[in-house]
Amino acid sequence: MRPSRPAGHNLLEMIVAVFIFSFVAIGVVGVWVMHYRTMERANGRLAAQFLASELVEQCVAAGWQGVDHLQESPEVFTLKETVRDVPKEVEYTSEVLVLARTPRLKEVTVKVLWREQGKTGKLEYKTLLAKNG
Amino acid sequence: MVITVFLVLVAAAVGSLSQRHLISVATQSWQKQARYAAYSGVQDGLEHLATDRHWSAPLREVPLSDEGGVEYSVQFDNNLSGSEGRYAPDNVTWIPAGSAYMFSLGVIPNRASEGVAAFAAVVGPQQMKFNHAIFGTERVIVDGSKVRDWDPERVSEGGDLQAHVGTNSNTVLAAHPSSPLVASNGAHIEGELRIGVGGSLDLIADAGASHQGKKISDEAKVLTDIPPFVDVFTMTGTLTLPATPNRTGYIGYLLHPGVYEDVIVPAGATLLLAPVAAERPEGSGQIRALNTYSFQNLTLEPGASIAVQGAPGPGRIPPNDSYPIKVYVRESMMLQGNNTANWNSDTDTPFKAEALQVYFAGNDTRLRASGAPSKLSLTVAGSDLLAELDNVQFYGAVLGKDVRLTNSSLYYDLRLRSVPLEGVGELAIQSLVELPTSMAQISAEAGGMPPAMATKEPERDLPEAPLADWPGPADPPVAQPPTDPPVPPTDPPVAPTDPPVTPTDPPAEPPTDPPVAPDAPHTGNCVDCHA
Repeated sequence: MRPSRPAGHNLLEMIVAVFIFSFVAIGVVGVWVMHYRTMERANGRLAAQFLASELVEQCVAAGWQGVDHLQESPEVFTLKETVRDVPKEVEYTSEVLVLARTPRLKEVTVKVLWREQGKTGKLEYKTLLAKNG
Repeated sequence: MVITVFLVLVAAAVGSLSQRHLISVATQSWQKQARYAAYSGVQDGLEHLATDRHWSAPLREVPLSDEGGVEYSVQFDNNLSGSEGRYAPDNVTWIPAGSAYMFSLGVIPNRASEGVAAFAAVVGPQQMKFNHAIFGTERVIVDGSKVRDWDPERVSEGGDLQAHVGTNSNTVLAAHPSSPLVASNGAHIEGELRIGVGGSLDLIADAGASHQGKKISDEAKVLTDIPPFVDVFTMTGTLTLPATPNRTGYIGYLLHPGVYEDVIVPAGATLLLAPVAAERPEGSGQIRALNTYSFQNLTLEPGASIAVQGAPGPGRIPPNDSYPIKVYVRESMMLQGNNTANWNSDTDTPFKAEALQVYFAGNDTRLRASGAPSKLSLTVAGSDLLAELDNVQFYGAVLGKDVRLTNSSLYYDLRLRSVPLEGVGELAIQSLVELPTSMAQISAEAGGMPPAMATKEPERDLPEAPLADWPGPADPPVAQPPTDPPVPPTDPPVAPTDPPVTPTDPPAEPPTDPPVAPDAPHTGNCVDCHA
């Protein structure tokens, strides 16, 4: 009669289990970090979109005859936010460029640049404005 | 094992969440870009129509920038020269006669399911009003004159600061280096002073002048064209009116509405203009007011007058808000001094300026009032008009290219603020509708064509309002032979030395060979006109 095997896991099983758990845990943390960065990037882009969109709407409201006055040197906006008691500032630089395509048609370009996570984000919207449009 | 599976699921969920968020943000951006591209299509379409009013060729997949990435397509349904309204291809939008429909689709190629937007627009000429006392697209000079508003109900001058004076010019002209808008030598203006966009308000000269009201820099709507008036009744040659009325009871020499070449009103004579009721189009049974005259040149010699009070006689309608007298001048109108126009000489007060509207149709047109003081109550408008008013007491408004008021008083009749001008203004967007994204997607799948919606019953233009305040001719619809034609013979042209008919000297017989169409003008229900 063979003696019964003592209950429990041997060392090898434990090592494999810990290895798998660690691997998955590291993956989860990685995904979490990636998620955080993605959200940050998306939020940055969302703010830039909002800013650019506001500027385009201002240009459309000013119309063909008034849009030239909105064409100024680049303007800097600072977005301040606090995440888990950690203050954070992101600078957005906006610029409106107006180009006369024809005597009655102007091309308006709104550019927004911002720096985040060591990279420079860029967003550009274009529209045309006609006289009496 | 369970914990591991749980962690894997959590990781997958988080990853999916962040990916969705990122896609959502990107989609918003694509939609905005597509929206601005579609809006650009509307603007580009307007530019094409402004350059060529007959433009109807679609604009296909035009990149918004050289780098590409976003493009627009525009479909046109041009009814600018149409005489009847119609439905656009979407079966919903009504395109009135004289308007154009545009459907613009903005798309980000390869992302048409997310980055797509569409606008539908109706484009038509701007409707202008007499909302300035004086407006010159290129220049205004107010020299030694006053410009005030006038309220006929309160019989008061000034106080409302509504006598606006303006120009769209913002450049300094060589002839008047100080300003495109000059107020000088004791000039006094009570209303806004306006110059074009980009012009410095300092350019509005104030030397020796006084001003009450705001100074603004903005662009006003301008009159671009006044199409010449065309009528079946045309008379060529020079017509010098006799000094006496052509009918008993008339206060002047009555001309029938129609087209004339050169008309001279000699000293002491009065040109009487009055609307007449007639059947138009002939044979239609519709009675309308004919209230429009056209002159190549109109000259008022010293002491001559123009009257627009309703003339007695069947078929005559007193001019009123609905039937003002409209005079088209193709070259010039000269007032040589001591003239009156639309003026009540009994009370020495003006009649309503709106009742006499003078339009200068054509290039290099000119209005000149000079000599002894004149009293005028009328509105004047012309896209290429040089108006020189010297020594006049003027009630009304003057809109032209170059307006010069010297040693005069101009009273802007406050009732003119709501009076629309005849003529054509610049094309502008009359309505703009953004379509839902789902409709834009359908359109993108259909190659940029506007999505057809529920078909409606075709609508018809409302018929022109019949004369409400005129009971109709005494004997409609029979054409009555003129017993006392109010106009001179039309064929042959009346020579200056050949005075037109007078009540005591009627024409031997009506013209047998009219100078225009054989379907003789002013038949049908025209009760009081020549054959």
